[in-house]
Amino acid sequence: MYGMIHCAVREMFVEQLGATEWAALERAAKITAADQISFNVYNDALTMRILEEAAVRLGLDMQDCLEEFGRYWIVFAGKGSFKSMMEFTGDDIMTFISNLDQMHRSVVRTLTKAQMPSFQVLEKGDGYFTVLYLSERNGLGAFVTGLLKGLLDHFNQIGDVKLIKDGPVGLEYKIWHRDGP
Amino acid sequence: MRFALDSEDLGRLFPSHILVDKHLNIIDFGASIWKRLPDLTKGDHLEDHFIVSNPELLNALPVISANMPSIQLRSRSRPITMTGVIIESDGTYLLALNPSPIPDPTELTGLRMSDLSPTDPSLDNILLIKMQDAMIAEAKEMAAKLTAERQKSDALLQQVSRISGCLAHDFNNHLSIIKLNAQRLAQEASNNRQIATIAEILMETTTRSSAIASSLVTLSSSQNDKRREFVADEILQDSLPYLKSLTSDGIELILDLDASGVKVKLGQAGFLNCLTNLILNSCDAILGEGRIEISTYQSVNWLVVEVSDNGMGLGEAALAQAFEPYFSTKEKGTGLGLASVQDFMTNHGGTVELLPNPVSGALARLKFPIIQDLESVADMAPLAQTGLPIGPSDQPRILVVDDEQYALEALVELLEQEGYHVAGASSPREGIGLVQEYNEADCPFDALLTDVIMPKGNGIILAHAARAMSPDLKVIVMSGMRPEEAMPDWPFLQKPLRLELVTETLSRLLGPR
Repeated sequence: MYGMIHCAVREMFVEQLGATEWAALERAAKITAADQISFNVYNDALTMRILEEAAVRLGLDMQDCLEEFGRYWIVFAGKGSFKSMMEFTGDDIMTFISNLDQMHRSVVRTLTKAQMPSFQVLEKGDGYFTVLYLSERNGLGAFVTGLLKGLLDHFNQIGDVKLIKDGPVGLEYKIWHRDGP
Repeated sequence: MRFALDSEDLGRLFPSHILVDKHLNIIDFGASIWKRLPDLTKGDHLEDHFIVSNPELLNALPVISANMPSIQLRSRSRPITMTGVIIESDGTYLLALNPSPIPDPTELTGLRMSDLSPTDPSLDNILLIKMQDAMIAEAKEMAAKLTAERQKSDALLQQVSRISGCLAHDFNNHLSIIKLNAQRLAQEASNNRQIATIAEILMETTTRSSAIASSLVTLSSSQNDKRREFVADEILQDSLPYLKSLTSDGIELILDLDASGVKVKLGQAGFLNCLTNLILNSCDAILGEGRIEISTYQSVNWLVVEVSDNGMGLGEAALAQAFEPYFSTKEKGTGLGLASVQDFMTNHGGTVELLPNPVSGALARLKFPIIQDLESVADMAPLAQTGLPIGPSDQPRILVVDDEQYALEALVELLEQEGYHVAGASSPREGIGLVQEYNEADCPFDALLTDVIMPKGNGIILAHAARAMSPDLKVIVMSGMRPEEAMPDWPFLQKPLRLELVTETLSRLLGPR
């Protein structure tokens, strides 16, 4: 995965447990600053090792940690260097998710080794919609749940996210939403 | 074959379309037009809102039909340009528009992906521009983090170096006292073999202990930033791209240099590190757009470098504490930046002060001694005359200045035993008073033997001032650690002192006794 994922994990972790504890995590996971360069590509196994170490120290099981990190990723992307791209992609959650593939395509054009997932809005109803998530990676279902919950927060929506189908084609999520205060 | 499109299809295909009649009155328009140009209303005339690139085309509207001429519209009220084609359909004209293929950066503000047709080639351009912006922002953030880490590391090294230096200095001073008194003891008890042996052991031990102190200083001091002479204006001009890279968007950094040819002797990296710290502080104090100015000028014997900004400035309380290590007004500040600037300035005989900018914001003023003017330093007001007896004219007159009273007494006594007339002073001010007193009695000192780092002044500055009053005065510098100040070809004696070396040096300068 790209190093910006590692940077986001670090930021989430430091916000909760501080820089000293992150330094301890670096020692335990055998990583250095060289493993946290935003636009460098790292082996997925390294990313998972960092997340596993973070989960232990945050007192979370891996699935909860992935969901929490998914939620944080939206906060991270929405306030940093990618803020402008996030804004350009859409002003509401459904438009945003509909445009994500287009945005990811431009990322791949620049970062050619990136393996980007696909998000398709399948069904729109009153106060809900469903999304199909496709990826070459496995085991990130909880992370996607966190991402979608993060998007609800980002667009000031109140609601919930549930994984409703885990099939060979991909993962299908249902998102309930209404305007927040 | 013709396709019938309802307004929803039209809106999806061309979010920026405008439908006009043959008189150019607006019949309808797409969602993107509505969002980006909220003043537009149905029934308005097209040219009330847009400048048309080829207005003659519009006059020919009734006769164009199949060839779909291209058109460009520029909004009269917003930085928005759109290009497209005109499609005629039953007496109405569809302006199938898209934002300009290479949009002006100002046009990207507020633009969303949904404002463009999915097939619009400018969509990819805009995304790539935004991706590029994100990468540049990441690179700048990384550069700022690296700078901050380097500053922390430099500040830590400086602290270790300073503590080691102080330890070595004090240690060597005390060793000097022991050694000189051991020599006195050995001389006074020359017929007592046992005492002479003990004194010899004491002297040897102080020599070995001194070597340990020296190695401590060597280990802790940075060897990478050697002092060298340079013209500050030239370094600033050459470093402008680097200094600009420290600022964020919307902050203008300008140089106002008025010290051409003025030379200082400093570590260049340390000099730039000082400016880096001050610029980063200024950037943090500027919300949104602002301006940072670096100016230089000469003031008597000083090169003055000022870094000013028009940011929020600092309150009185913050100004008072600004140079304290670990004090910071920033949430994530280390509190070491200004402390390291002050360290650097002190170590180079300069000063730094932080002031409110007369207009708004803050101003940091750095004053560096100019090297060619060091010898004219004579601003040390003498103390009242001491009234000490001035010795016979056939004895060379030596002035010894050392803040360590026991070392001073021992050295004075030992040199007197060697046949010199010796006057002692425990501070530079006292020393300069004696120089003046001896000069007025027409018995100027022949040599000055001075410590360097003293609580009430600096021996190098004293030596410059004394030589300005007595140009023939020979100077010997002694210290627990070799001074970094600009020092002409004056002999340096490392403490703890060996009396033989002191007398040998005096003999070399003044002639044998």
